[in-house]
Amino acid sequence: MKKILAIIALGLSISLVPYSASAHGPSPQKVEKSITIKADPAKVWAIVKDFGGIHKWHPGVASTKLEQKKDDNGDMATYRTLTFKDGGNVFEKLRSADDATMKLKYEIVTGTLPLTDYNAVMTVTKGENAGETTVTWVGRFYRLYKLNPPIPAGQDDETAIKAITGVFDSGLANLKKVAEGSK
Amino acid sequence: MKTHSIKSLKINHFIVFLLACAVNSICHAETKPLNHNFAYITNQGEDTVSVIDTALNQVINTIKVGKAPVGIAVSSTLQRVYISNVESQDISVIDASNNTVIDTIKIKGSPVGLALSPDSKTLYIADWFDNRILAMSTAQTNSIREVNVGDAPAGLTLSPDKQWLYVANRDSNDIAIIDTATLSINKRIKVGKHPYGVFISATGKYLVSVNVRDDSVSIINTKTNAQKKIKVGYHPYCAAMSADEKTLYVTNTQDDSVTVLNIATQKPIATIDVGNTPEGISIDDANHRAYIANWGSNSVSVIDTTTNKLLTTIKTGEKSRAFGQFILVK
Repeated sequence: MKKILAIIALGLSISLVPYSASAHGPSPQKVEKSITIKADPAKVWAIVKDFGGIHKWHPGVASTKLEQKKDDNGDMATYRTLTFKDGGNVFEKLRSADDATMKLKYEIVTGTLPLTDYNAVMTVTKGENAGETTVTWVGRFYRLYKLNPPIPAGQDDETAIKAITGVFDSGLANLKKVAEGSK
Repeated sequence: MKTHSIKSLKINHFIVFLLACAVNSICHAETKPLNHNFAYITNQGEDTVSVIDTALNQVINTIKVGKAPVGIAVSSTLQRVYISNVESQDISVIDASNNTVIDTIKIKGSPVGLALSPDSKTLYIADWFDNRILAMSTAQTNSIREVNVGDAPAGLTLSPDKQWLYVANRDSNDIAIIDTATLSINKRIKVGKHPYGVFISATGKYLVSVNVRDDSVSIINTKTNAQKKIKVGYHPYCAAMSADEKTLYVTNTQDDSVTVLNIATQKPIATIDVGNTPEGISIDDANHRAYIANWGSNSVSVIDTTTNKLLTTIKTGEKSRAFGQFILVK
């Protein structure tokens, strides 16, 4: 009986390995997207920096839960849980929201997206013309699969890039609508 | 023919230098012309290597290699450059005299970190997933020995007397010290969380481990193994020390900066903004310049190590990494 339990425990620990915070693949991936919005940078930045309010502009996000808690180092940090309309979710940590540079930095702690070790920066800058703003969203992450090839379908670089491209494209398009629409 | 083309290249560079002096008064401060050394930069996103002439700070060549190149090791003795292509699981060998790929060697596993023995006879290759180091003869590339190490071996470096190979085991949070004669582990030293880059100083006195998840570097006295941990920026990857062993430069990937540490006081003396997500760093000691590969902005930042100021930024290729010692001296 003891032996059976030990085997079950071993099986569990092995199946958990790919989802631990440690190992990741050797090649980080990047998705970078930009959009021009006809609104003042200050107004767009106010929307972007609201870490708990992403559901107000991202069409894929059903709800956001914002919370303060201690991180691994024992420091207080801001976290949010996003629930997607397709049923998935993601738990994210805010790294910084800097008013001077209008940069929002955050990272995924855990989640259902097909990728790992994700961090992102949203940058708001003055656009080319007066009253215009450019928003750039850059994500850096690794594929889910963490062993030597062959890489299974659904855990490869392409799958991870496609998922983030979808999040960024739909998000930026609707951010433009929301920012240009609200007075 | 080859001699002729190299000579004409040198003359061209000399003319460029003279022209630059004619229009730029800064030249008067330069007492001697710069050395034409070469920085080889791996571009993960476009499967190429950019070659930068460090006297001109210009890309003079772009070489097609295998898939997702990351690691690099250069031999000024052999005039060879070795590139690890992690996704095609092979090593590209470049002849530095004409910057062409002369060999591609298939590797079991996923090669990331590379380092050459000081005599250039052995190329050490870290397999990211199978937790082992391969030792390949540069003269006979089918002669490969191997040793098992800790989890996710990343950065590699060798003592100047070639006796010791140091391996950063990223997921074991330690450095393995391997006796190169027997290819066996002599000792393992605990460092900070997730060591990635390692660097050995010119005389072998200091070993530096860059600890990604700790936001720190460990400076280890190689005689006593005594260790001093110093905080740097967010998620540092790599480090390089000046040849006089006085100054250490560390790339902070998620702060887009380089921390400059004084080795004697063990304190930061400057933080220099560079491109986005800086990874690999090497110093051209003859020209007093540090070269930093920026993964996020597809460029190389050049720092003047006499002033610790950004000198220039050079456009390279998609997702520049340059993991390893990448300055080749002609």
